[in-house]
Parts: sequence; structure tokens; C-alpha cells
Amino acid sequence: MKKFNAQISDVESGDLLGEHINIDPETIEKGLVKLVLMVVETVRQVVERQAIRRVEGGTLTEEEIERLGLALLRLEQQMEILRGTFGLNEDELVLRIPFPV
Amino acid sequence: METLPRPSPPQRGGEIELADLLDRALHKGVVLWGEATISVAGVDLVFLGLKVLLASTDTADRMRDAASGRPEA
Amino acid sequence: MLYLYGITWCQADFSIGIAGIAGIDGFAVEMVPCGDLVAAASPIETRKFAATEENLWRHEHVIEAIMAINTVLPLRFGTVAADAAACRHLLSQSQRQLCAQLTLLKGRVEFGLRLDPDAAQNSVETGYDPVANRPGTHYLQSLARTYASWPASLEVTLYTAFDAYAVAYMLWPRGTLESELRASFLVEKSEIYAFRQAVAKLQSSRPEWRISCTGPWPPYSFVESKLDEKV
Repeated sequence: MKKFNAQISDVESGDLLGEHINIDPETIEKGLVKLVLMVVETVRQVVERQAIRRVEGGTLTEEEIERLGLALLRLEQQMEILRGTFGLNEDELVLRIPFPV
Repeated sequence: METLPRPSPPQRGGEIELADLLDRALHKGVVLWGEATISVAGVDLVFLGLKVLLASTDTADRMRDAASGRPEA
Repeated sequence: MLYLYGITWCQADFSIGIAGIAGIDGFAVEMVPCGDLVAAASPIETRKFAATEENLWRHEHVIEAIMAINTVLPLRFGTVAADAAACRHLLSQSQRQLCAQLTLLKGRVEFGLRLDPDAAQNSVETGYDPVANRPGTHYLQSLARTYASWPASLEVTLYTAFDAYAVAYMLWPRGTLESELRASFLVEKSEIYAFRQAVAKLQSSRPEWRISCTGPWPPYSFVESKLDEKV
């Protein structure tokens, strides 16, 4: 049984304007918004990973963990709303950084 | 000699099948692009796909919510 | 405009197979040939249509109707060409890759598997869920699982269970709030029964896992999604 590795081009949807014939003027706007959200999303994921490390480090109280988790949950929910508002997929906001963060 | 178990029956209809359909039709399959392609389902497609794929439960509710809350074309 | 569903060999007579199948917005399906290939399509009027449950199932049912006759490459939902000439142009520019993929997928179907290894833990047996009132903590736990990704042992278990019955498999990327592993398997039509038996066997060997299996699907997960446009 072979493991199928789909082309990573599925995630490389950085080619914003070339993919569609889109006569909406929104297209330009969407390009800028997408760029901003990509950065925001990257920072959010870095923060999440940091938070997990801290929690696993065992130095936080239950309350602190709950507060931290809530803050991250709200952030994730806000991002979901933003993505929905601008019609962007989770995959589209992934920055392909060659080193682990 | 081991008796083979009866094969699991196909699960047709319902949330799980819909979720699996969404996974495939919205994120897989051949993508034909060229000057001659017009993708029309842009915002609706992505937004709905995102909303639904986040949870495999209450899929139908989420789709209904998303459908009613969608921005006007 | 034409809504496109899938691509297959231009050899069989599809007229009976697609008769009476309603496409998007209820329009009838027609076949647009181009060389060795043919695309299943239907006219659409509006530039905007939604990914409703109804339209998604229509997309799927057209592809399945073709699949009953011959190998088919399913297209992603939402592919629209300006007209028949445009559709032919799309087919011809990727002809070689499309033909190659049709050849690879001959006689093969897809099954979907969902597996929740924590189902036993998540199920509410006593009625008391310690993190029920702590959504922040619950979120962090989900995150930790996500970033840890699936344990290698899980993939090994799947491989062992299905190696004899599937030609290929792929694991879906894990989303932030996903607690379920999703996998797709490419299975020879002649092995469908055996594959389903293997699923049942896996479930009975791991009763604490919640496993569900759907299919047969057209082989969505085993096509190369983005084709080079250069011929």
C-alpha cells in the first residue's frame, strides 16, 4: 500500500490574481487583506505553540491555564470570523517558513 | 480458524457522509485552471467549507446558519 | 457557462447513464468531448451559486453516474468554463496528465475512514466532564493534541490493517479542533468487500476507537489536484 502524497500545490494558493477570472474590484483588496491575515495567523500559531510549551512546563496554575486557553480560543474564533468575512481558507494563510517556529 | 467479521455496512446518508463529501468535493479532485475557467463559488464555497469542516457534529445546523448568514451576492 | 463535474475516457456511450441525472440547478448533463477525453458538464445561468448540501450532492451524483460506466476523474466543486470551446481548451492543455491519471485510477475507488482514538475518553459516561466548565483548558488540550500530530503508531496500525486490501492511502492534515483522524484509501473494486471486512476487524480489535467508513467514492483524494498548464 503506497502512501499518496498530494502535490503541495494544494496549499500554495499564493497566486491570488492569476487563478481566477474575477472582475470584482474586491480582488485587489482581498490580496492585501490576505497578506495581513497571513502574518496575523502566523503570529497566532507561534503564540499557541508557546502557550502549549508553558502549560506542559507545569508552572502555571489551573486558573492561569484556563485564562490562557480562553484568550487563545477567542483569538481563534476571531480569526475564523475574519477568514469567513474575507472568504479565505485556513490553508491559504499558511506561511511556508522553512524552519520550525 | 478465525471467522472473518461481517464487513461494516456502508454509511449512507447523515452527517458523516456529508462531512466526507465536503472534505472531498471542496478540497480534493482535479483543479482545472486556465484562462477559460471561471470560479464562481469563491466566497460562498470557502466560507461554508470552513464552517462545516471545523466540526463533524451538528453539520446540518452549521450549514443552515452559514447559508442564512452569508453576505449577499 | 458550463459547470464541470468530471473527466473520463471518450469511449463509452454515456447517454443512458446520465439520462435523468440532474446537475447543479437541475440542468441536464451533457458530455463535451476533446480527443480521447470527455468532460461531463451542465449549463448554468448564474455566476454565483452556493455550496449547498443539494448542489454538493448533485455534483457527487453526476460523477458517480459516470463512475458506474468508466473510470472518472472527479473535479473540484465549483469549476466552471465559459462554454464548450473553453472546456475543450481546458481538457486539451492538460491532456497528457489527465490521461495518465485515468490510467492509474482504472478500476479503483476511494473509501474514507474517520477514527477517533479518544472517543472513549470523550464520551460522557458518568455525566461529569471535568473540562466542561473550562473551555479554555479544553481548547488547550485539543491544541496540544493537534500540534503533537498523530502518533506514528496510529499510522502503523492503519498500514498493517489495510496494506493487503488497499492500493494507496493518504492521511488528511489535522485541523486545530479536529479530534478525529481522517484517512482516504484507494481500493480495487474487486477488493471492496475485503476492505470493508478489514474495517470491521480493526474496529472489533480496538473497541475503544470510534471508527466510521464511507464509500465507495470517486477517487477525489488520489488525483493530482493542480495540473501543470504547460503542455
